[in-house]
Amino acid sequence: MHINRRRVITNIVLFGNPNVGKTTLFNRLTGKHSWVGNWPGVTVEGKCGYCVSQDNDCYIQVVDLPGCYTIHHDISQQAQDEHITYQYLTQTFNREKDIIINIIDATHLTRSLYLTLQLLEMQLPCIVAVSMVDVVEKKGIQLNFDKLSKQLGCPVIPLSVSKRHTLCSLKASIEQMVAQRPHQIMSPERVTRLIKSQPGIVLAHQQLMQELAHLKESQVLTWPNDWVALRLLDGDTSITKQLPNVLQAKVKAILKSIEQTYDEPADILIADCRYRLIRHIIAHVKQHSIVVDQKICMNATLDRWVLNRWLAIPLFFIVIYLIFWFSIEVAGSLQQLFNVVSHLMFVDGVASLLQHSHTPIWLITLLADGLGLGINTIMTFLPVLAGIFFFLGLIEDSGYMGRIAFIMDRLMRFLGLPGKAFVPLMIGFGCNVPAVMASRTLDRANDRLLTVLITPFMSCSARLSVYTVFCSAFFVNNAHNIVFILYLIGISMAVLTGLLLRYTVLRNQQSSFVMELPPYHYPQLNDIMRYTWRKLWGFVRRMSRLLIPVCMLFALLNTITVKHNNHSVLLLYQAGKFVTPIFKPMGIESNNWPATIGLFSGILAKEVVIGSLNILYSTETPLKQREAFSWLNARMQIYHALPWVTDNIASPGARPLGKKALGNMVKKFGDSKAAFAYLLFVLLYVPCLSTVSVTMKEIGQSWGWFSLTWSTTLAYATAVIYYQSATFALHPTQSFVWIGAMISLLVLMWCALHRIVQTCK
Amino acid sequence: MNKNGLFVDGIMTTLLDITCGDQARIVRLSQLVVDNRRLLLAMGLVPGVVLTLLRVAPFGDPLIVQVLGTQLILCKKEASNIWVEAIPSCT
Repeated sequence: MHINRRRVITNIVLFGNPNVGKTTLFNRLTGKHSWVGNWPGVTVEGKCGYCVSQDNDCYIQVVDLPGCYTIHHDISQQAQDEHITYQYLTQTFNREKDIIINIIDATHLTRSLYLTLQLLEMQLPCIVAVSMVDVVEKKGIQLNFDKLSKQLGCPVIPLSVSKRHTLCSLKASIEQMVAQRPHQIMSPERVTRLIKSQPGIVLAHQQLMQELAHLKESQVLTWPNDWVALRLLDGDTSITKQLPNVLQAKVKAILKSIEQTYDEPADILIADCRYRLIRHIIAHVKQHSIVVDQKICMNATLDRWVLNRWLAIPLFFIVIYLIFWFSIEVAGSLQQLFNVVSHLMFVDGVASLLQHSHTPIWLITLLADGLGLGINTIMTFLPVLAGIFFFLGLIEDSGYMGRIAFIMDRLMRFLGLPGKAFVPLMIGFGCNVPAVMASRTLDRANDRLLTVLITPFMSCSARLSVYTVFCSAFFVNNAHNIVFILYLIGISMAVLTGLLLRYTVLRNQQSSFVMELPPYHYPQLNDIMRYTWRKLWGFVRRMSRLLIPVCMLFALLNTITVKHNNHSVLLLYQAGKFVTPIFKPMGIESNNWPATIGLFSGILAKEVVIGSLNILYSTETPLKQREAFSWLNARMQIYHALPWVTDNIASPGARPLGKKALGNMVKKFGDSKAAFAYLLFVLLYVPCLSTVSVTMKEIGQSWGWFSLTWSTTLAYATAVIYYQSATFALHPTQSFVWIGAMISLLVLMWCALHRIVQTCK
Repeated sequence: MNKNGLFVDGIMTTLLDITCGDQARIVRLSQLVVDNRRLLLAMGLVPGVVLTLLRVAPFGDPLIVQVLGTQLILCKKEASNIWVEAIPSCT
């Protein structure tokens, strides 16, 4: 944070329901001066920024709290957003200095005020900012903000976010509050006024207040007594827990007696009180005229199609298809250009520059093939990621994401996931990296974790390039069936893993699924661009930390040679030959060592597999000569990488195998069974390094390793089981032993991983 | 009639038993854990409130109800705990 601390006059906290325009106000207030980080301990993004005061003299720090519907501490910590908000308001918030800006939605006054009342019950200094005022006015409803201010007992400012002067009045109001610091404790009548309509609650409240007055040492004493008493009646377990046992028992007894006398539990009665008060306030504030609800009408017509029982799913798939088409095909056509240009710049260019200055060979390798290649890999991802995040932002901003949650909920509940989880999984078919990152759109930590863990089994487009080459060699007649079967196997492994996790480690506590269906919203290009940019930048930052060191390591390993039969051979290739027997049960004979090395290179990126197989099968002389850098050559390469030049001579990833390599490969694999087993392994084993590093960042090291080990074991076991059953007739005993061994390996592996994860917890 | 003073003229049914487009008044929320109930309450699903069942998802599970001008997605499990009395439609 690069602002002068002394000149920060106050912290303001933006607080309100989801989708009330909090983010818009945050962006307006802070402009460019904002940064995104995670809230401590959780992977929920928190935003922080600052704005200058009206006289440009001092700063106001702005914190954006996650949106929520109620101030409540969830013991199961499933609803992280609410947990963060609760923690912030009860602990971090400085009630003498800081100010809350509570944003309420004029179109949903009742529900917004429910949260406002809870805030006022806490007796925190706040300013109420009303958004969507223009929408309400169009409907012919006038709101009297002075009266609202009087009713609530705090300043009320109408926001029409497009206008500049609303920001000024907001800032003026903040500065006025700052001038009157320390904020006076608001009048305690608020709670009494709230509950007066329920005599039973009033009585119980008084009783609890007396008990609290006798309390000597407890953390609850830092909060106003009447609020604590109210929360106890409201069933706030986090506060009850801090009381001595005697009092806890008393609270329980009081709650029970209320439920018996009134036939409703106390929290419902209190909620009823709140709604009564809200109705009273709104009746004072709202001046009706004719209600012509055009927006709702438009919403309803759109939803009649979008959420239609029969059309909803086909429409959803069309939308997903379009997203794919745009990001993989259209934005992806730039990928080649990014690849070639960044390769020329950071790998070839750097290498030739260093060669001219007579730098030692190992340093060139480290900088060009390590650092350069790392940057090159990251750059190559950017166009597709930008496309996917743009559309992700679009469907979230327009309100379609909420509809997806509705459409797909039943299907995904099979895995205990919310309907929204379908989107990251679908994106996984394009590329696993944005899919893992898109899991952030899910609300609960467990759901996010599960989604990230099963995403790598979605066969990405890079793996497809491996399938196509193998199909053209081994399954000429039924290539599409083979590819389809592979995709299905990937999905079923995802489901299998998901179910296993759900029923063991990630058991979901039954929590309610209630969600607001957001109204359609005209997407703001500015906000979506900002979202895309933030995601891309986050990707670059996180990826570089892990990918570049690993690339450098690989590059170094690539230079070490050993003597073998009077030839100097790369250590890596020698190692490949050495470990090949491990893959014998899945049909890779020891003379087929290029296949093994192909698998190793696939850890870096799946696109590389075909490239390295091509070199290995055609020459089998593994030492690569660095081509001399020439401008003519570079220009040719760039020219061929342009999206509108259709012959892809220059595309190294999609380059099919040469004739010689193909013949060699067919000969060494022997039959199609071994080839299919190989494809199964490629489908399921370690996803590319980029996915691994994003996964590690997203769900933590231990879960990341879990994902790696589990997927590799599963890949090996599946490939072996397939190959052994396919060749069962040749060697029944051996096959039987292998299949048995693999199944017990899976079971053992699962038990071990389960154990480890539980001890880690 | 229940003790809370809410008159129950019609037959009390759960939210699952009313048809799309029908209006109903919430009579009581039963058997929901306090933590699950809290969100429903904050969304405006309190006894006495009138809601409209708008539509059912393609797979038949979540429902959309309109309450206090907001559309809420509710899954069947919650809906089965919301007891309502149907309000005969005016048309």
